Amino acid sequence: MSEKLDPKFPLRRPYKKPEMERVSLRPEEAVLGNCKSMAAAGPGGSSSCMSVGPCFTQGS
Amino acid sequence: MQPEADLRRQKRERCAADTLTLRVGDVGVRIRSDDPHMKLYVQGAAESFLVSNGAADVEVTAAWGKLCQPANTSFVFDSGGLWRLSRELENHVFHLTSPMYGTLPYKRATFSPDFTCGEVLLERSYFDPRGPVDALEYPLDELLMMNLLAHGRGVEVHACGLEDTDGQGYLFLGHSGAGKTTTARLWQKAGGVRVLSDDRIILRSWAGATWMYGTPWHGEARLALPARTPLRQIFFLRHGNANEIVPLGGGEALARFLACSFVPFYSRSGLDFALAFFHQLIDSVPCAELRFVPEERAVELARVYAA
Repeated sequence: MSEKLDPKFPLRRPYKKPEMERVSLRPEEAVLGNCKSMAAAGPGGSSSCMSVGPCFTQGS
Repeated sequence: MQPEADLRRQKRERCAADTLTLRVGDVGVRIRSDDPHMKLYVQGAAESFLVSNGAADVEVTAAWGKLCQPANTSFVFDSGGLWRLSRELENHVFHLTSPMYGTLPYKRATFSPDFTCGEVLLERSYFDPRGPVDALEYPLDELLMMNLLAHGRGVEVHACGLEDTDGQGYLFLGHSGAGKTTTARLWQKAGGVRVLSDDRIILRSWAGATWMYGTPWHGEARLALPARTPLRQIFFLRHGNANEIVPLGGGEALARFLACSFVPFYSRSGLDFALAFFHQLIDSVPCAELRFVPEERAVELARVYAA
């Protein structure tokens, strides 16, 4: 016997268990907290960035 | 032969002015110095975004000031790096420091609640008294733009954006190391392509379409064009063992957009706007993950998928 579909109850999609996916966020990049390049942020431009640590942690 | 630093200084002095207007993402920012002893300039790719006329959405003045440690200030946000944000009355105040100079700010920028009016004070002792200054130097220029966009204008994303030979725009999002600059170079090799940026793209919606804009904040390839193009296809980049495209559902695409965007995390209304913007964008432009190996076949695959 073939089943007739009731238009009031359309065919349901099969149940799929929800899945959690982790999306990585890089806060140091997202908040513009670091030098973007070797030649940025601060008086002296590149010269100041060449000599300090955080500028090498580029936020590009 | 003249040392490079001297040549740079001479170039800066040639371009120096009392007033400059930058136009990025169709947002005009005018900066003005009222001090006869302070001339202004912009450096690097930002030079291409200078305009000689046109209306400005934002007016900023620059002046020398005697800056001190912000006393008894409770900060709204601390970037953990170059800047902190506080509020004075309704105004936003950015305190910029450099590891080179310790905790004393070299710059203090105050903006009106909607960021359309501002004042930048620079600590004179930190700057070369002989030359002009880049008062909106990174990260202030990008922070200002991020906040302006969050007031209903658009969103800046961590992405490479390019215009293909048929005039349609492709957006490739990803964190540092995901392959944005590699992608830009691959498409350039394919020929006839205009790369708007290899690192930062502004997205705005108007006239029934979403537009991508180049920005001055480029990546390793230094690609930064003051131009726009309509957006046709969105890819989230991932290095793979083979070239493959996997369509993304709305929820996943939204989460990834948020992770690859520059939004004011301290502003509830700004975040609400960004989420609504991305929601609408995902409904209107196809989103997929592009797993790729750095070869020209990745370009062809993306074109065929988007067609």
